[in-house]
Amino acid sequence: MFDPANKPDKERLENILYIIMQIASGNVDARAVISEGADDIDAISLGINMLGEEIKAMQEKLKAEINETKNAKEELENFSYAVSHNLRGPLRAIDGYSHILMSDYFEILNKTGQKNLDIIIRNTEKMEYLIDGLLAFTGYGKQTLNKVTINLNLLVKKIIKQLKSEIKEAGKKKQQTSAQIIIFSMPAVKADKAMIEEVWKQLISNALKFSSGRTTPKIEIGADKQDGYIHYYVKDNGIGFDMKYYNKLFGVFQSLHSSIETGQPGVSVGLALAHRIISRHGGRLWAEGKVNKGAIFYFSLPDT
Amino acid sequence: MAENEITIKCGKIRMMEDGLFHFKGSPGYKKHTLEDSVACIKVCLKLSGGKKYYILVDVTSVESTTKEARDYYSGPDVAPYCSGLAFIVKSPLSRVIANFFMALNKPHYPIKLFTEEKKAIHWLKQLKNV
Repeated sequence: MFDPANKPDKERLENILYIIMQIASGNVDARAVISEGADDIDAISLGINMLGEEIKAMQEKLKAEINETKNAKEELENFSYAVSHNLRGPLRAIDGYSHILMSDYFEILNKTGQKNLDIIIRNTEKMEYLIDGLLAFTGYGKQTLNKVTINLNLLVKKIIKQLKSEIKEAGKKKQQTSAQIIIFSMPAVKADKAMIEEVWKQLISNALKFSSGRTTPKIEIGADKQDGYIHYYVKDNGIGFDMKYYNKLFGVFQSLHSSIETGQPGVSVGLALAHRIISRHGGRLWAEGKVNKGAIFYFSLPDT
Repeated sequence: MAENEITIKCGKIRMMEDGLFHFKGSPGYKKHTLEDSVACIKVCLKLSGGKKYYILVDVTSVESTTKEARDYYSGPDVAPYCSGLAFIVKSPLSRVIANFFMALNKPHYPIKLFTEEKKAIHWLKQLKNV
C-alpha cells in the first residue's frame, strides 16, 4: 500500500510547502497528506491542515458578517431616506406658516415674539438644509454610476461661475473684491458627471467657506497623475483644521468648526457626501490641514 | 451497581478509584468528529450524574480532530461541567492536536499537557482538592 512516509523527507516537506502556498493563495480546502507513520513531518502536516480549517471557518464567518453589515446598512439607508422624505412635508408647513406669520403679523408681535419667530424660521431653514443633505447622502449611495469622460477644466470653471456670489462674499469680509481662484490644467476623467460635479461643488464651497475670513482668500485647484490614479486637489489658505480631529472630517452631520468661527451652520453632510461619491468610484478622498495655515483636500480617481 | 466504565465508538471512558475520569481512544480510530465529542460528553455526564468532573484524556491513538469537535469541547455544553483536563500526548500528532485545542479554542477550564499518566493524575487530584 502506498504510504507517503516511504517518500524521502525532502519530498514530503516540499509537499507541505506546496499546501502552504495553496492555502496562502486562497485555496483553503487544500490539505496535506498524513502518513501511517505519524511522525514529526506528519505532525507539521496536521498542524497546517488544522490551520487551514480555522482559516476556512474564519473566512466563512467574515463573509456572513459582511453580508449582515451590508444588509443592515441598506436597511438603515432606506430608513433614513424614508424618514427624511417624510419629514419634508411637515417642515414645509412649518416654514410656510412661519413666513405667513412674518409677513402678516410681524408688526403686531412684541420684541420677544419677533425674536422667537426669527429663531423658528432660521431653524426651519437649517433643518431643511440637513434633510436635503441626508437625502442626497443616501441617494448618492444607491444611484447607479453613469460613467462618461468629463473635461474637468470646463466643469470646474462652470462651478466657479455658479459660486460667483460665494466667491464675492468670501472676499467681502476683509474688504477684498473677491477670493482669488487659480485653476491649473487638469486631465479628463471617466466618472459619473453629476456626482463628480457635486464633489467639486462641495470642495470648492468648503474652501471658500473656511477661507472667507482671510485678508486675501486664495484657492488653488489642480491635479497630477500617480500610479494609475489621478489625484485632484483643492487648496486654500483658510482657517485649516487640527489633524487630531481628522476622523470627524468626513462624518455625516459632523463639522470641525462651529458656526461662531465661520458664520455657517455647525453641522454638515457635504464632505461625507463627497467622500461617499469618491469611494463609489473606487477612489479616495483625504485631507491635510494645519490650524490657521489652510487645508488641502485631495481626491483620487482611477485613470482609465 | 452503578456503571463506572462505558465504551463508545471512539474510545472508552472509565471512572478511576479517586473519582477522576479516564478517556482512552479506541485503537485504529483515528479521526475524532463532532459526533464523537457529543457521545463522549454524554458519557461523562452520565458517569458524573450531571456533576462536575476531572478527566484525563489519552489521545495518543487519535490522528486528527475536526474543527467542529474541538469547538464543541470548548463550548457551553462542556465548560460548566469539566473542571480540569489533562492531555496525555505521546505522539507528535497528539501533541499538535492538544496544543491547537489549547491555543485556538481556549477552553474556560484548567488544561495541561503531560507525557506521563502518573503526573497527569497527580495534577488532576491537586485541582480536585483545591
